[in-house]
Amino acid sequence: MQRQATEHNWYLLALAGTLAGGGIALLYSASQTASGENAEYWQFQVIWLFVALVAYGAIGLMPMRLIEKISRPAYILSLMLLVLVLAFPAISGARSWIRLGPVGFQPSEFAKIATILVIAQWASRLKTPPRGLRELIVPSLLVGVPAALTLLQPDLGTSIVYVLLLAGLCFWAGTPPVIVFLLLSPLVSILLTFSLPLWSLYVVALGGLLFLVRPSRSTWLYVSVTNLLMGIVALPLWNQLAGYQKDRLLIFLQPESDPRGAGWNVIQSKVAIGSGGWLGKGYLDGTQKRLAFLPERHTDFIFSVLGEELGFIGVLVAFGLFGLLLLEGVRIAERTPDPYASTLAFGLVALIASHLAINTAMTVGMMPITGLPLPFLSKGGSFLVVCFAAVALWRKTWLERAPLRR
Amino acid sequence: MTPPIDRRALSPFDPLSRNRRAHLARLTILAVLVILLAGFFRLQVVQYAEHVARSTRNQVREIPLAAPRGFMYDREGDIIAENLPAYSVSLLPTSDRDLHRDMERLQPILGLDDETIAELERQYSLAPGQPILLNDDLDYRTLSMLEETRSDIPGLLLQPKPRRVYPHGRATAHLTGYVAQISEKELLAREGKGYSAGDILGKTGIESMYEAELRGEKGAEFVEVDALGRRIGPWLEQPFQAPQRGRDLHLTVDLDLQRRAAELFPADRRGAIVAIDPRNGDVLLLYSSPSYDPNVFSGQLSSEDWRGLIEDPARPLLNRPIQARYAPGSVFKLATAAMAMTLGVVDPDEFEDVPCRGGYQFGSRWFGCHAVHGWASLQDAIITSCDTYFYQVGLRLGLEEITRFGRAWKLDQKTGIDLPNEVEGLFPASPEWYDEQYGEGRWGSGVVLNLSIGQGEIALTPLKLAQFVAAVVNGGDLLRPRIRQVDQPPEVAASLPLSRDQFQILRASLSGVVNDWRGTAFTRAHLAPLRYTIGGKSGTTEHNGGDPHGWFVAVGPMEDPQIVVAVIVEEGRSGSAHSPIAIDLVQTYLDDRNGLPPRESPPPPPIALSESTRSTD
Repeated sequence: MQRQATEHNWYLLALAGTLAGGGIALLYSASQTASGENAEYWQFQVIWLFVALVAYGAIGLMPMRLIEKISRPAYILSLMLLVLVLAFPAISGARSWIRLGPVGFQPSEFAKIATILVIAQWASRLKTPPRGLRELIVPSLLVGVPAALTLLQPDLGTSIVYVLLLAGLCFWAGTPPVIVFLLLSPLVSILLTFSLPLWSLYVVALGGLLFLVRPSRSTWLYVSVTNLLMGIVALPLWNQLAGYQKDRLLIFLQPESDPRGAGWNVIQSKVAIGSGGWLGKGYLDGTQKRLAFLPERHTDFIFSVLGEELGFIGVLVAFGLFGLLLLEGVRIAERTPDPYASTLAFGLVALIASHLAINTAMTVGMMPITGLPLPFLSKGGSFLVVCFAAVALWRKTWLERAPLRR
Repeated sequence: MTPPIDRRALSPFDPLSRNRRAHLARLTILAVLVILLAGFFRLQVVQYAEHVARSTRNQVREIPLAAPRGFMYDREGDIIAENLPAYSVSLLPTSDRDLHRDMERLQPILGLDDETIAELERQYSLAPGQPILLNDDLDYRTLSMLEETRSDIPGLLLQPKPRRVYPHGRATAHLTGYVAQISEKELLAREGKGYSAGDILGKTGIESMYEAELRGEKGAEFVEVDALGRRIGPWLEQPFQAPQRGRDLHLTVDLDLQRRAAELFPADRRGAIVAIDPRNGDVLLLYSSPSYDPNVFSGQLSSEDWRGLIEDPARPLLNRPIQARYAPGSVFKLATAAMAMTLGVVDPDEFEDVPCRGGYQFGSRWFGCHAVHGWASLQDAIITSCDTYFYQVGLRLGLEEITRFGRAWKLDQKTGIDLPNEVEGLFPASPEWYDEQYGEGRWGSGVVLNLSIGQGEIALTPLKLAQFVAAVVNGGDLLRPRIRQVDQPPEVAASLPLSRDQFQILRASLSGVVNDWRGTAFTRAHLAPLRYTIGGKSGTTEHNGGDPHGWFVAVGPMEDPQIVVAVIVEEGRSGSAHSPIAIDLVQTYLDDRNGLPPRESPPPPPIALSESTRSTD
């Protein structure tokens, strides 16, 4: 059943357009500071929005099968770019930009999409849902390589996104959630190593879980070996870190311990959001923003500008828009019988959702600061193009949907 | 009934399993959104007040405005200390790096040396976010130059800051004391009293004593700043608070007398002049030589000038009337006489056992006198200042009694004047004191002879001695001197238990020193005409090394004493040589009291004493 290439999911496009337009309005506000620096950022974003819409149109012209065909080359290309980027000079501590003269882009943004494409291809070839970890080796490697390369930049936030992508895609491919959890259990182990009692408790709970699930022997082996290894290797490593290094990693738990240093961003973001109250200080009137107390207010902390100026109501509306967008993405994935397209749509949901959750949780101090942009809202051309590519791919998938059965 | 579906056999993408997973995905998304919203709710609604306060604190800086200090007036309402408008420049830098950069720009304009800059940068590191004071006392040229750099150095604060001014600086220096920027140590000691770095503090004298009243209340200006500390504009929600001037002080001193004293005191000599009203203990004059200009501390005092003041061997910062101690010498004979009359060990009209043959033989030792006085009564002995007579009086009294009187009359204590850092007198508390000092049996009974003529183990501040002489002429009350005008009756520290007749003998003796032809001060006192009946007592005291110090204490008028002036000139050789200074001051004061115009009195007689002039006391 072929639908017209001119058919759009107007609901989806309207949601994305509203978010992107709102983002430009917020960027305009973020540029209105007392010192007047970076006042032109919002104009760049307008240009990038046009570029993103062109990308949306271009992807719309590509047949789904073509997209499926270029999955693997795109993946390999993005891996090469991820290696190449490490040769470029670091910008504010991370080698994440490829710059050629005036233009530059971040390959890791496109690598995320390429990874989703290539895993969707893997999922589409499954005959039965994966039942054990052995069947998840391929997607784990497919995600692991770009995630590891990204970690070298270093960009912890994006690496976490890769992990969440892996979890989401494996889940959508039919893997039982428990198995997905067991796959990721060593990562949880790393997170908990900063506290020996917590880690011990976790290992005991994990043992209980294994006993209940009764997975295959290889799964048993993987879970016990990796988790213990993480405990044995990471714990002494953690303890070897100097006190201030631990503080840096844990600063989000106690930002006040270093208010002018590592804790500054979180504190000022929390103050900005918290002082917004129910209704906010009014559009353009955020003082934390205007007086430049709010750091990175165009990129990572754009949501703090929204929190300060539009208040809790504004936050609620923004989350509402994102929620509707994500639910629509889930609906598209659900309604599409084609395994490739369906997995692709769900992978994009996982991508947007993990960015949203990590970014906003960071602005209120619920997560460490990792420097991840907020979809549609943050300044940044590459990611805006990726977001609209996601919308375009959702639309393509939507065109593949099954008719409603009565 | 359809058989149960084997889910494992199904493709992962059959509609049923997709549907089930989509439900789970939707639930997960909603759960995450709810958790995130809860986080925002907590911050924006629950902790709203806390964050608003913090946001305001972020953006508003309080710039303190210095308060003008209270004025000081003399007893007639003339100004001793006031304020003049001046400008201060301070810097409110954003970071250490900015501070350094700004300093480099300001250095040539303000003429700061590297040492000062290092100190200021250290100051900033102690209290970041606080403005640091660079200069208190800008001239208009510098001020306009700074105005021009203002746009380049956003943290620059140019503020009106009243400057303390003493119109008669040197004449009143030790009285007023001086003010200067509060030091780190002083700041720590005054925690919680509203002081901050860069504030002005009274360091010595009245400025220090009445700091709490003089300082006034700081005002404040509120400005909005950005994250870099740059000043955006006034913060309108909190109004400007005008500073409140400190309380004015009315002092007991007489400015004309003070200036006259500064004029009369030999310029190249060290010493002190102090005058009190014997009727109530009011301090009429307090002068220390050499003096200094307290105005220099109000401005920018370079470390070089400061070192100059500190290291000057003449110690100009020492407040000699209350901080320097001298043996009273023959002036103390008044005390010895008072002790003897109290106990009745001498009959004032009788001669002593041995006439003065230019000295007195005590055991194997010869105690000298400065002249041959022959037979003398008590009054004669005071007038001629005969040591021989008083050696014998001292022996009659004995060390035990003399030290007992010393304690009763509080000779070893402070006068309690309302000025800081007064020192107490030195006077042996008992004969045992000598045992402690020199070891038992290692001192001779001759010490009592020395003590009875005010030499040896005795040293009093000029104010203390003036207080004692005032008691002799006011009927016996040792009054606590005071320098701030109060309406209360004077505090009596101790009393001399003499009868009217006995006081009359002492008064007549004082008068005789000046007016009897045998009096030690007769010749010099009459070089200029005397307009009042003036009394006095001279003293010349030996000290280790150098010429003897000279005392003269003058009282007038003898019919109803209103002023006691004590003058000490270090290494002034003879006390009587300085009697004209004391007598001139008494007459100047009395003229003023009687409404007479100030006199162009002839310059005081030169004190450069010829070698032939032997001490005549």
